[in-house]
Amino acid sequence: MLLRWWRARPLQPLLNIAVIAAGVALVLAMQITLIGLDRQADQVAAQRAGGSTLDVRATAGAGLSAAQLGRAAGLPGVAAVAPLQEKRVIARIDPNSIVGLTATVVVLRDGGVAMRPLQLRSGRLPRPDSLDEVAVDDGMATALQATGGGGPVRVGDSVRLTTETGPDRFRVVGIGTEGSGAAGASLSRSAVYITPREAANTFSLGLRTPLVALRAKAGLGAATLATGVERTLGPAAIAVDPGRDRQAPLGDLRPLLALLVTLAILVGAGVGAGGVALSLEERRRDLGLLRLAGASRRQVRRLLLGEVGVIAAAGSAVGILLGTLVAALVDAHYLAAGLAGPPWYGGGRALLLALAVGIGMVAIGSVPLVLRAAAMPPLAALRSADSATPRHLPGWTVLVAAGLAAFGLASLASSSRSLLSAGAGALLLSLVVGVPAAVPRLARAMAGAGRWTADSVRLAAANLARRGPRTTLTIGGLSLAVAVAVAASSLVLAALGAGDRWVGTLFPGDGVVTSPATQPELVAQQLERTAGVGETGMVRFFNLDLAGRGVGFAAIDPGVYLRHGGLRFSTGDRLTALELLDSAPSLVVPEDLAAAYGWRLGDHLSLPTVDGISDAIVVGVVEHSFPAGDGRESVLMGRNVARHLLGPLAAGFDDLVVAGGADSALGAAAAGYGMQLVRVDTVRESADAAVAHSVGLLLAVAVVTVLLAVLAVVTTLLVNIRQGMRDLGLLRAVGLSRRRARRVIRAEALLLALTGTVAGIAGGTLVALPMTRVIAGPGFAPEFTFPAVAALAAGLAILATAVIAAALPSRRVTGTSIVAAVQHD
Amino acid sequence: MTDRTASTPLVTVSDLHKTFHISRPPREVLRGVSLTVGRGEFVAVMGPSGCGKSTLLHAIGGLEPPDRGTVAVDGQDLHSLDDERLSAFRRDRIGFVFQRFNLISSLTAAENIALPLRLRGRASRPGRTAVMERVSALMDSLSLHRLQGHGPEETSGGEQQRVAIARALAANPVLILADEPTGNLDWSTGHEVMWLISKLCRSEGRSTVLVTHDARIAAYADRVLVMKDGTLVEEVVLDHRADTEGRPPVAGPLIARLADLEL
Repeated sequence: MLLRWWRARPLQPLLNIAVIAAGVALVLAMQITLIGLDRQADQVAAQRAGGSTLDVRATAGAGLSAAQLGRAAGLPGVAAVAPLQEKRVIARIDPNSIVGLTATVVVLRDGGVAMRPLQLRSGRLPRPDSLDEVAVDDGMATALQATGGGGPVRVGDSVRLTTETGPDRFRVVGIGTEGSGAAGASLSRSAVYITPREAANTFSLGLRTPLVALRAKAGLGAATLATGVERTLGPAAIAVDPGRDRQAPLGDLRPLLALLVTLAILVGAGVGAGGVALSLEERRRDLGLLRLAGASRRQVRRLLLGEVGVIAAAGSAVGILLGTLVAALVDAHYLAAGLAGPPWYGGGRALLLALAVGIGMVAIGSVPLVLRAAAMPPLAALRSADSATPRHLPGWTVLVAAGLAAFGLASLASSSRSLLSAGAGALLLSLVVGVPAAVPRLARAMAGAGRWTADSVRLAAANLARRGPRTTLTIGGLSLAVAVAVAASSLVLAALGAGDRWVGTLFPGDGVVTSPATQPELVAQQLERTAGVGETGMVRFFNLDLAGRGVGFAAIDPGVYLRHGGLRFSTGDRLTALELLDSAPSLVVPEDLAAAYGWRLGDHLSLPTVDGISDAIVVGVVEHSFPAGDGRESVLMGRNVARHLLGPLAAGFDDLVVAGGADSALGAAAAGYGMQLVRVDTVRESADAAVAHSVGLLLAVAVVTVLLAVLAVVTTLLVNIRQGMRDLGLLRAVGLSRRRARRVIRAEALLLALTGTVAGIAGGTLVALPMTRVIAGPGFAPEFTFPAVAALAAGLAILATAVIAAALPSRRVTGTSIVAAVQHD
Repeated sequence: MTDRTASTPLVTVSDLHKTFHISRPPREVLRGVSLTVGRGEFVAVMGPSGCGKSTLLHAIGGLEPPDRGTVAVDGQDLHSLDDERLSAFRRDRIGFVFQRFNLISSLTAAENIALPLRLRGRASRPGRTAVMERVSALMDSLSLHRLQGHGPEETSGGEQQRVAIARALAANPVLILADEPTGNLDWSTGHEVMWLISKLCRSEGRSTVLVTHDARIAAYADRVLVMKDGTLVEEVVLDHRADTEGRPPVAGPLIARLADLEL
């Protein structure tokens, strides 16, 4: 029976399958992508932690003593220890060069540093017994060209490092990749990796151990180990779990994504329900006849549930296939090379959730209708559908819609996130309930607007008004789908705007000179002397434990910001904060860290300095700070204070903020030191691109909802035209020409599409207003933006689909003989 | 009234009341209708449009629950059954023929005929071969064999109605209910259809209740019940001894009696 029905009307089940497939694909692709990003983040975190369960960092400048290391190694539950040994030296290529870079020599043990394996971009690791081989990190290799090399250092080149016996020559045998090796534990990114034998001989003087990595025995956690470390070493060291505080990718956007995906599923369920309702209406008499022939309610119910079950299964299968393909494409776009992607199917949980969505869409949208159809008495089913359905919407729908809209608009005045979310939901609901009530009036108004098609449009409007319930279903679903798409696009634009706004606040001037390795301050002075360059400000990046948490720091010149602007303070007085940064142990923290760790203005945070632990006061909170490289932002310190408190760690600079004159002369001068001049506009564009990647998923939701809207239009138009065949036949019998009949069908399609689109755009805009405020968080302040291009594109896509979907059946209907059309039922 | 009716009635309708509340004021279409239909008896119900004859037929078939009163078919009170049992009873014991919309358009003629057999529960469902044989026999007896694989849209009105009769007979029901079965057909085709119904019912001892407003069609029945404003107002027993095989029955006396009633 099912096969016969489907063979007779193949488009309807196919459209329903497509709707479910779209929903399932969306959820699966979203899940696979998020799983991929999570794994990527896990992998980065694991790489940063290496084999270390717990990092024990010295709080005193001298580092950990041999006795302290011995006590740490002797702690119960410790399986292995790996101390990080390092010292600062001067590195240069040409022995006669006056410029030398401060490099950190780090001792390699077992192919890594502090249990973090060193990954090489080229070459090999130095042999452990070698006395003249080293490996350098990528940034250092580039920066060293400023010290007499003709270009970046390559494998086989020589480098001179200050040793106990003077500048000795070492052969570079490997170049480390950025972020590998000791990046997670090292206190510097300008590393030169030496062998244990070299450490014991030429570099032994002054080698310090700022950190030791501990690997716990199986079953023992970092927290238990940390307790033992604190008890054994006391204030001389702090223990940091390197696996803690992993940032969830797209953390800000996840709730929004969940909301939009839920809406897209509801839209899909609505569109699917529309399709099922129309399909049941078409087969109303068949169902009546089945009941008349003796089929019980249960038999009809089983038949219809079987049908939606097959549709759900087919839609889910297609959706899983599509979702996997989409995820593969997205992953190819998102995931960096060399990092593990998600499993091709996204994992059992993702698959189950996607299947649940497919079944859920059917359960929400179709099952109630099927149960109702199966329960219909045989005689009622045999009666004409028109006589059985109410023609006018009940008056309470208008009241309910008005009430919901009023609540939604009133919620805009609130600052509560939950009230704003409820308001957004109420506005969406008011759209679903209210738009259909306004449709007939709107259609009549449109009919009066155009003289040239007035008759056709009037007829079409009357048709739509007469088929009240079906028009309600279509316009409601269509407008909701468009609203979700417009709201998603608006939020994408808002997120993009919020994403690049921080750029302007970080760089007071028009450019920044970036260095792959830490440069001596002498270089900054030379660059500032380049013709046309205004004031410059050095920025030095480093990692440190603040109040027991490993965070990124940026030491800045507060004076430059005082004189040239930049840095938007959300808490604390800007002038006071910048002055304090320059004169006292004080910190300015970014909003994201303040929110994550509960840091507030005036808090005293313990900071490990060269003289031991000392307190630093939080003197301000800024909306954004420099990226720390771990997905979060940096804590700001004044350079002078940082150098005083932290010694060589804060010496030199990594970036040079240029307050004016960032032109080609400066670019050329910077290139001479292996550095690069980047204009602020370029930074802004990069930020835009990065945010665009992150919010790409939102766009995917928007596209899928528009697709669902298009399917809704096609479904309804096909059934409308089929069921309007008799009416059209009657109209033609009394003198309506074929051409005008086609025009009526076209006008009906356009009216449906136009009304749904206009209402959807208006509704989506209204919904986006509270939602923009709902997604705002610490350091993420999107502002409402109307997505003109997206709205226009969605509108055009839906109108074009309506015209195309109406064209073929209208030709067929008007090509049918009048007698056949009149007899059609 | 025939002697068969008097012996063991197949259908017993007692004090049937039905009011529709769709319009205002509510419309009372059946006002205490009582009747019996004997085994193998052919009863026609006549009356003007809106007198309640179709509603009476629907109530006898268990399609329209009455507000008051009972309908018993073969000793079973239909409206006391739940949906499952009522559906099974309708499927196995009652055959319906309507004026239009009788066939499922996506099924072939043979499949439409086989529907009541295929809808039976697993325990009582005949095998595929048995179904095919039954369908084939019915199609032969109704001269439909050439339509086996054709859909309803490919057949004429008369052929569609013959397929509907075959479907009504497929489960070998004890009662056939026909609502204006010739309403959409020309006189010649209508006569052919009525001749088939009366022949098949009489030869196999089935009872038939036919609703019509055409006296020439009602003349095929053994007994004609006349309805007016929801009540039975007259009963006319017809004598078929003068009828000629294969020709329409004599309708003159019935038409004259109806004229007397001024319906």
